[in-house]
Amino acid sequence: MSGALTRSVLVIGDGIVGLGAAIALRRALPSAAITLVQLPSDSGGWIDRLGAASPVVHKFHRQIGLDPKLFVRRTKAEPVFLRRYVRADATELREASTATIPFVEGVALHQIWLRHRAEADEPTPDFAAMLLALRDARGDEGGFGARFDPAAYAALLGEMAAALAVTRHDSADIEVKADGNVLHGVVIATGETLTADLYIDAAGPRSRLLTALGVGWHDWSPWLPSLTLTVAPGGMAATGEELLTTATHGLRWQTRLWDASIAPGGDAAPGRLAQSWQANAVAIGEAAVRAPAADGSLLANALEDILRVIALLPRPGSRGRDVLEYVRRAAIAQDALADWSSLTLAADGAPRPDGLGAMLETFDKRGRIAPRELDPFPPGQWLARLMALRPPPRRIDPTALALSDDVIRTTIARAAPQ
Amino acid sequence: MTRPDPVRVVILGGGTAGWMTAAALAKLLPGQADVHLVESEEIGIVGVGEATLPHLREFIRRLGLDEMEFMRQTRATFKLGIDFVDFGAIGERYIHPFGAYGTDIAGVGFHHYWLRMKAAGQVPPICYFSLPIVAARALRFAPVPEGGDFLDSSYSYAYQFDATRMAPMLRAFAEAHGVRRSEGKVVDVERDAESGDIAALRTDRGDVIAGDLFVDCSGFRSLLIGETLGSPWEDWSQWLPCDRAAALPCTAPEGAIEPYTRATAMPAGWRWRIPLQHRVGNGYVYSSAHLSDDEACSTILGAVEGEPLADPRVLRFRAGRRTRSWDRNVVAIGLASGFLEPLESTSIHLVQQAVTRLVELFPERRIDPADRDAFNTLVDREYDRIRDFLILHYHATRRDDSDFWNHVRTMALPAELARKMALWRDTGRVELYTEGLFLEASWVAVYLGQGVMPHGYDQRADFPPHDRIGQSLSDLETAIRQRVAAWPDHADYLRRAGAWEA
Repeated sequence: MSGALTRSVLVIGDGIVGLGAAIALRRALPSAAITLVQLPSDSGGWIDRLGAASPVVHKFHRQIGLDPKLFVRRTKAEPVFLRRYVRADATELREASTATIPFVEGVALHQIWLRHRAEADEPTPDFAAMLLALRDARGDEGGFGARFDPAAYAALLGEMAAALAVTRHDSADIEVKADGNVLHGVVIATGETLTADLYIDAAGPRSRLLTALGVGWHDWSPWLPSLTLTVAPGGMAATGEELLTTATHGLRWQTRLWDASIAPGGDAAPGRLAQSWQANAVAIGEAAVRAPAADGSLLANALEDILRVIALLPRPGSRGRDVLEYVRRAAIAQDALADWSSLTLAADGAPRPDGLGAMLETFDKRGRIAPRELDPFPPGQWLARLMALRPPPRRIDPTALALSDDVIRTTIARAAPQ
Repeated sequence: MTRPDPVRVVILGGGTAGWMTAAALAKLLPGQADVHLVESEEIGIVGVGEATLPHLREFIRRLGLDEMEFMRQTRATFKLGIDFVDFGAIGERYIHPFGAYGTDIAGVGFHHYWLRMKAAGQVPPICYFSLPIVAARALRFAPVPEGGDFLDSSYSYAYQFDATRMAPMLRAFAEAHGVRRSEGKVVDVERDAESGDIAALRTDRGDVIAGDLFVDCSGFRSLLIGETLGSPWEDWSQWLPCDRAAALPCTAPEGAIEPYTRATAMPAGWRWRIPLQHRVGNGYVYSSAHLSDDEACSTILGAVEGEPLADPRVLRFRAGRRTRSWDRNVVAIGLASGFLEPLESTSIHLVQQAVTRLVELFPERRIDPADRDAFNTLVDREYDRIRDFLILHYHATRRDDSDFWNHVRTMALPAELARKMALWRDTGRVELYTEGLFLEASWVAVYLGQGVMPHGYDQRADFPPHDRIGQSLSDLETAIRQRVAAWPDHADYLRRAGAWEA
């Protein structure tokens, strides 16, 4: 019944994602040889330049045994709980972090808020401020995650990989040796051919392992803009906040640590691989999917890829059912990322991916979203952003209308910031 | 903003589905739903849905009903799972518990470690690592404590109850919350000439009951969704050939009461045994292509333990569902919407799900097609996933002792189920879902319980030293045994907790 163990893994790319994958695999497979190929630094990827990750990063650190205090000390990581969107006309929208919208008497808080806003004589407090006020009562869920210094994070992971005896090779470029659908090795600059049971492409937009195997690409340019990222140190945001300002040419995103500009251009066209894993090669992070994001969702997706690879790691010689399951799960996460990216960054009036189009229709009508299977963005996160960025839904939910005036009033009063 | 007018809801049928719908709409949508239920005392209710799932507790809680009062009224007992006998092969049995086996270790599912130890030939049966299974076999029960440890949170419970007593209880509740009731048989359905929607029901007593939204709880007859609207039916009998049940209530034996339902595979189907406070429900679910009604009745009469309280009653059904449970302004809930045999106690759950979704997507007087489509998507997914899980119980067998079992063992499967089983067989993994009723733990229970041993397991389970896993398993087994030994006897607990109808 048992079978062979994975003896060797070759990771291409030594950015945050490649290092994270090498460390996580070292932890999961103590007897396997883990090798990393370092490529020259790349300006096309966003993850290595954007120090931002959703709370998934904390789960990832638990899995690889990285002390959260060390992470904070070395990378200056800070949690963010509030996003302020300053529009071109200087109006401000606010979004609070939450994984779940609290329920009162079986009714979601945002529906109660919407009813109060529509009917009450008294002013309705800011919804984001109400979510923040309830954060203490709910317990800290990690907010929007950490904002940190990405170079320091890569250095920390690099030290960890070295301490864990991950073998590293420098190479100016690589040549992929493939035979049909299967990889046979990667030739590095020295001329040496590296082989492994499993190849992981973490090379970001320069990815080529899966394309060398003939895997196609889904183009998302009808939905998502091609954008260029530039990052400078030092931003103007307050502690616990980030600031997104609509500028003449794009979006400015500031945290306390850095100041990012996202402008039309095109580091890489948005899209994803038709399948992220084939035979003995898997592409993770930006090697598998490219979508612009002004939050921690890109790195979060990459870290979830690493956790997914490990959760479904096939034994050598596997018939590939686990790989198909990986492809299914990863594609759902990637398509959700396209929806998420489109909601935040696509131009007004741009066509929407089907999934987001359906979600916007139901939200705009009655403030509801349908449960989405395996969506990496929890419903509360969607609703909090929709509440911030969309106009109020046209209908007040009947369950909220059914509550007594007294319940509405006390709920709003209890949740309002003190 | 002006308030929308209350939606006039007309519910046809006062069985379990009808009164569950009425009670929930009246309680959760006061002022929004104006509920009127039409039923006839001359039409009996099926009411064999005696076994439930843990989700029902949430329904009772949301209505604000007292749990012990509910149990007394319906003569309920507690339920920790279902005991499946003779399914994988004659002589084998397993309990599908309300809970998972063991706990994950270092992010790897417990069953992977168990499979490793099993391959080495050094592990007790996996049922020893489930608190609800060990408790069920010991005939013990305790409620789930607040803020307990990992063992306390490793299980859940449901009820075994007299479904014919639930409808009257919910009727009293619903009427107290403003639901109007009309006695009578529907003799005519009036439709709007322009839209084709249903406008009103006319009864044999001359009442005309007009509405905006009609809920068809008329059972198998499906007077509105089927007879009137002719909404299509998707037939699943190719995979679930059982189409009859011979039901037979019996007296309860003295003494211990099993905190579980039993399903015993039979040559042409399976039979249920559900112990309640005052009686034991029994029934033989069979395929009429493989067994006559007379044979089924004599078989169930010969199989029961107590004294029969009535003659066997034969019910007819077919497995399948409406392609649209919500069509025009008619929402079908319960048997009018679809039928899946009670092998996993899902009938009342499907009603509860549909009611919950209807509350979430409750329309205005003019129905938005998007709400209808969203409702149908959710209901379909629930049905389809339960369907595949039920088919697994038949297909995953080595039985070759009857035409019936030869058919289900060799039949072609729905594509999604074939894919799930292939993944399990190769890797010991379960396709991951977050929506739907039966998730990973349930699939693992049925696969292993029915002898579908995978060829592999997660390779990470190979790394910890053999002795350490052995010690962890042994510690867990001991902890479960000791915990259960401190639990009260199920029948004693029912009395002590105030659930017993004296």
